[in-house]
Amino acid sequence: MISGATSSDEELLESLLDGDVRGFDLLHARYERPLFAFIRRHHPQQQEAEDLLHETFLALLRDRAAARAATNLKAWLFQVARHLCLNRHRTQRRAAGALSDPAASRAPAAELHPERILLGTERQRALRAAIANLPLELAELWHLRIGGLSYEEMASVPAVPLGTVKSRMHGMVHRLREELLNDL
Amino acid sequence: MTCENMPPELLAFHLGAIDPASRGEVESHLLVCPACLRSYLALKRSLEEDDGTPAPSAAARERLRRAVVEELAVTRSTRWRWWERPLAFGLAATAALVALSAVRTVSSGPGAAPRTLGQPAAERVEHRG
Repeated sequence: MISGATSSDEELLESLLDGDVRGFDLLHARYERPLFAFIRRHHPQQQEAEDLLHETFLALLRDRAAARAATNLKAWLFQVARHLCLNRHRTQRRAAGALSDPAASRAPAAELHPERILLGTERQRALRAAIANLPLELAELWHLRIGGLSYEEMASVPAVPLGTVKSRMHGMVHRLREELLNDL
Repeated sequence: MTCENMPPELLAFHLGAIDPASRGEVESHLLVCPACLRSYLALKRSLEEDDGTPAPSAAARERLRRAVVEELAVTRSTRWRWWERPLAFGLAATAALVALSAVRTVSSGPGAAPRTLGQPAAERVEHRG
């Protein structure tokens, strides 16, 4: 009997591939938000991001052999999402006939919920703005880390060495610190 | 590590982008300083909870779930039932054996030339002649 609290990703996947839609429901609940945030960093337009999220989850069924073979399903989902995002960028560049910088169309910093004063409103706003200003390469890592991936898992998504991930993470923290001017 | 120089370290600590020596200092300080621990927990909660990014729309969620259900239905209708695969293989094997047997029967019937091991074809013809 699968459960959102105790079943592993692989158990939920097997359940889904055996025809149980609850396996999908639980995987979807687990990864919809972090995947969507990751995708939106590439493609801020809501409709486009929804389409890409749609294709990411359907890959579980349409490429079931690869999903089954993945050593880490969470990282595999992010790999699929990234691959789809990059393909969409290429298609758009070809259509536009010019090199577009995805970072130039990044989403504005998210508005804070007024009822939530956890970190200090100004600090939180500054942090969100600094995150939104990260270049795409670092923003990807941010979303992967916040999405709960380990460094090893993060390295597998853009297929870079572990040392590169560590180096970029240090660079990101340094950049965020500078932007926040030590407010944190 | 003091309360004054903790704040810049908290983000790096949370992301794991901190050298081992500094991590040890932060951990030791958090164990003894409730104020810094509260700051760290507030940061962690802030980053890991809703960041205000819009969620997918209800229509998009519905469309995805419908697509998943349809994919599962297609898979179910084309998937072997538990008894179909062994039966299919059994029938195929039987058909192959029957075909092989028929070929052997035809090739060893009255019209077929006798087979002599080790004898080249030309000698066989001479013998018959």
